[in-house]
Amino acid sequence: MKKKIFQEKETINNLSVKKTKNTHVWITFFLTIYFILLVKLTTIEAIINDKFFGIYSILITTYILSRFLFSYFHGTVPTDESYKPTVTFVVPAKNEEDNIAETIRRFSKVNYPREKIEVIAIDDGSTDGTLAEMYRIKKEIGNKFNVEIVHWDKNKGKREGMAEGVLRAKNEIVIFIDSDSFIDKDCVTHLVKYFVNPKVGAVCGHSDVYNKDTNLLTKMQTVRYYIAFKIYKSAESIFGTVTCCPGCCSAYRKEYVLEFLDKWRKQKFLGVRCTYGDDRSLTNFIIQKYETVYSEDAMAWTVVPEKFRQYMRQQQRWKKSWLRETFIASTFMWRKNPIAALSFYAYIFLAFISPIVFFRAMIWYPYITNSLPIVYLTGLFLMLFLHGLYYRASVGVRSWFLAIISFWFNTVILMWQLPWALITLRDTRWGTR
Amino acid sequence: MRYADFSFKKVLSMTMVFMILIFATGITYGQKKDYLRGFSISYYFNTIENTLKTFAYKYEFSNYQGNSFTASVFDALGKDFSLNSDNSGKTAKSLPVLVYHGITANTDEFNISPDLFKEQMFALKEAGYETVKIDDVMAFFRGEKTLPEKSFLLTFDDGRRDSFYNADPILQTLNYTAVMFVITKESVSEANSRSSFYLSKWELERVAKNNNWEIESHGRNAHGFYPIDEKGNSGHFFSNKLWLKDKNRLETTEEFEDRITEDMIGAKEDLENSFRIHVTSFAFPFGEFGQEETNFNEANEIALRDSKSIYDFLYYQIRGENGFTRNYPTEDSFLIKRIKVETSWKGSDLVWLLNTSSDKSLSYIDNMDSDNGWLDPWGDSYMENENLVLKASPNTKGSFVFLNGTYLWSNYELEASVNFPKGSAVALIAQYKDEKNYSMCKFTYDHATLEEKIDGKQKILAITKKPFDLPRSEWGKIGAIVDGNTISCLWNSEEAIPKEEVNEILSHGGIGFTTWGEKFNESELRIKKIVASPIEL
Repeated sequence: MKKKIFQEKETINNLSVKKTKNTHVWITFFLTIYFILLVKLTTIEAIINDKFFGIYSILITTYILSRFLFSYFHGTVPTDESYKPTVTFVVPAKNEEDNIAETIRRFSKVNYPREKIEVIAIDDGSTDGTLAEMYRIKKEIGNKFNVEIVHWDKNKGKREGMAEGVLRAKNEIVIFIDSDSFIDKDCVTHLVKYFVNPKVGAVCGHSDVYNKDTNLLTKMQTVRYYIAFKIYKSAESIFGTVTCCPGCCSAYRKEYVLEFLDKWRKQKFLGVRCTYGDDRSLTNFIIQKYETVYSEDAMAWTVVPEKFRQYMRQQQRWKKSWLRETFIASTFMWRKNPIAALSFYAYIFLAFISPIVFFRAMIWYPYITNSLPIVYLTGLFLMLFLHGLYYRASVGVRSWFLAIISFWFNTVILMWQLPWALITLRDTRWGTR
Repeated sequence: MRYADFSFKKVLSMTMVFMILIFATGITYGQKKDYLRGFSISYYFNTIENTLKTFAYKYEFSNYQGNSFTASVFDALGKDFSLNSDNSGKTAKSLPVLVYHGITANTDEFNISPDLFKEQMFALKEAGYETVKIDDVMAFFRGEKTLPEKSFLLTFDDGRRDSFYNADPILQTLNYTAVMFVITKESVSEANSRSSFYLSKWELERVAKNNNWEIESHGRNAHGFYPIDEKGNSGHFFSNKLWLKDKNRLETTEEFEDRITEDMIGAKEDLENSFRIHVTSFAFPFGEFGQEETNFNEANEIALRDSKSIYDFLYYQIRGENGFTRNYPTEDSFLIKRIKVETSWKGSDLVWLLNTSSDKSLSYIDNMDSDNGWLDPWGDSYMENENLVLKASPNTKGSFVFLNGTYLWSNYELEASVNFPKGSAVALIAQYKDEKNYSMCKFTYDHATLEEKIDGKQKILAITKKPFDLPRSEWGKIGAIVDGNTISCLWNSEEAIPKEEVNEILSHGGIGFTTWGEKFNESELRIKKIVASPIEL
């Protein structure tokens, strides 16, 4: 297993997706939008009969189409050659002997002045060879820049690890990299270029799935990651309000983080210490005062769960942190750009209402009226198809069908995690990594 | 929006895409309104849905027939349920016609639930009944064609969307056909084609091409209430002269006739011109053709005369249990009665009604071990301990029953074993045609009479004054011999009233019983056996 991973890592740079011309797919994409609009226009007439479903249907369509529209206008900032701030990579790790060395080795290959880089690796009570791997890689690349290794006998949690990294960092920008993520050589340049603007507090990079060919589950996650970043984060980013800069590859301005560090470390919600959703929580602190953006050129690859159970647990954890941080964010998002705020609140509404709509359309309504949910299913399919086409058109991979399955799974199965997350919000047992 | 790229190229291309999309959807949608006349995407949704439902219903019906899970699955995949298992080869002497109004989850007197409708149709199919088409019905009533014994005509009034979309998959499943009587004002004229309640013209074009459906007329404007006097009271279209507000008077007879004729011709033309079909039948809106309470006494006569000249067959609806429930190919057979299927009836109730209304042959013996179709126009009746019991109700002094399926009987001798614990008079009904036309042998403690009722007018034809020992605690026999249009009455198998001629329209007709008492809720008659046998001419 270990051997195989390293063989794959040799080809890692060939993994970057090729942009191909796919005119016919784009035409299909817009035809689908045309068809959706036509169906929606007809639905407007039916709103009189079924206000609840009608309004939901129009709202969700507007939301999704606006994401595509906003993401299209998402722009990047030019690289300022005179602006090269010092950076600190912070890598908290627990039991990652397979990947940690490669994660850190990648830092030595970046196109950035060596003297402006330092690395802090935190071994958070690992019981495997993680610490040894850290020392091995330090020996290998330690001549290029300073690699600091922190060792804790007892596990303290990822948040403590991240906080420790921030406190020890000597440089202006802290870049958090998960111990199972691998960055591209231009990643740093594209992350830091945004910090030239003092309003920017955090920048998240673009993460693709590293182990995408392992099985169906990882393939599905690949599509989902791609769309989540390219569409949904892009759409948030044009307003400077990216609500989550994920831990796999995000840069924060240390000075700003220090303002909140203590609050963040000791964060409590409903009387319980928060032990998951550390990245979303940190972004939330930043976003209150500063801007958070998405840099689509800052590439990284991350390892995603390969087993279904593991995946479901991860998703459940994310849902719970989403709930908590969305609740917190909803207290201040209204002060942001009106369109960004409106989108934010609309999404909350839709996320909570969709299980109800699903239940009503698929079970309750067919039961009482003896009819099949053809309209709902058609709407659902068209939306999934649209995402699939986007993926097919922009990546050029013929896995649009996978995209549909992926989003179907996300809509139909994972949707139910939200109510469950709400019930088990105070239960922190799944909180550890 | 610092991180947005509003470059000229991007804005221009997005504006173009946006314009094209808005333009394209706008044009398509506009087409729908102006040229496609009610093009309905929901028609296609419903068609897909109903195709899927047909599989499910085939499975359900197979299961309903008692087939195993596996057999049902195979049946669902493609069994043709048109093959009738009933190969008796007998032909029908009469035809029952059913009428429904709406099929929807919100049920009331006129709206049946989809599940119950399905159950009723499954039960009919399982009992061997098949639907017939309107051309066959016409040929049958003209005596040009025979129909299988277990035939019925299925009809829907008003042209409602819920009826069509909910019934269609069931008809497909069972290979049944139905007639939709359409109100052309609601469905064919442009102004109302956007209604979600009535089928649009665009949808009806598709219904007309559907082999399981036929379209006939339900009037153009006639389905409504109109002012019939200066106070603004309103009434039905065919029963009343309408109040002409601008002229401050009622219509003249000529204006009345012009109005109803124009409506019936208009509706027929609306349908024939729009769907290229031949319209032969008319269902009177609300089932009324001037026979109801009216401000114009000749309405009934004129409405029937005029409608007969425009349409070949006219349909109305009956409720309750006042007369025979089937239609017979006789002199009046252009006027077809339809049974309003009550929304409370189970499938077995409907099958019972159709089975017991089928024509009973002579000789006939009824041991009262089950209800073979006794209907009570007034008073109460029920089966108890293998007896048919007639009981006065709290607001009647007597009770009346007749036996469904005996309408065509003639030349028969009838004898019944009866027990008459309470009441002053008991009568055996013979030659029952409807509640206004029948004859009877009536017995009281001191005399017997032979009476006839013609068009509701009762007449005593013969009387015998002598004491009759009414069977209060024991069982006695009452009887009658019907020979052509003569009748004689029997008391304990002996002649009580000799043969007497009755009105010639009573040359055939069914049997029944009636009682009277001095007080409300008192009289009671029990019948344990009847024997009807043909007499030799």
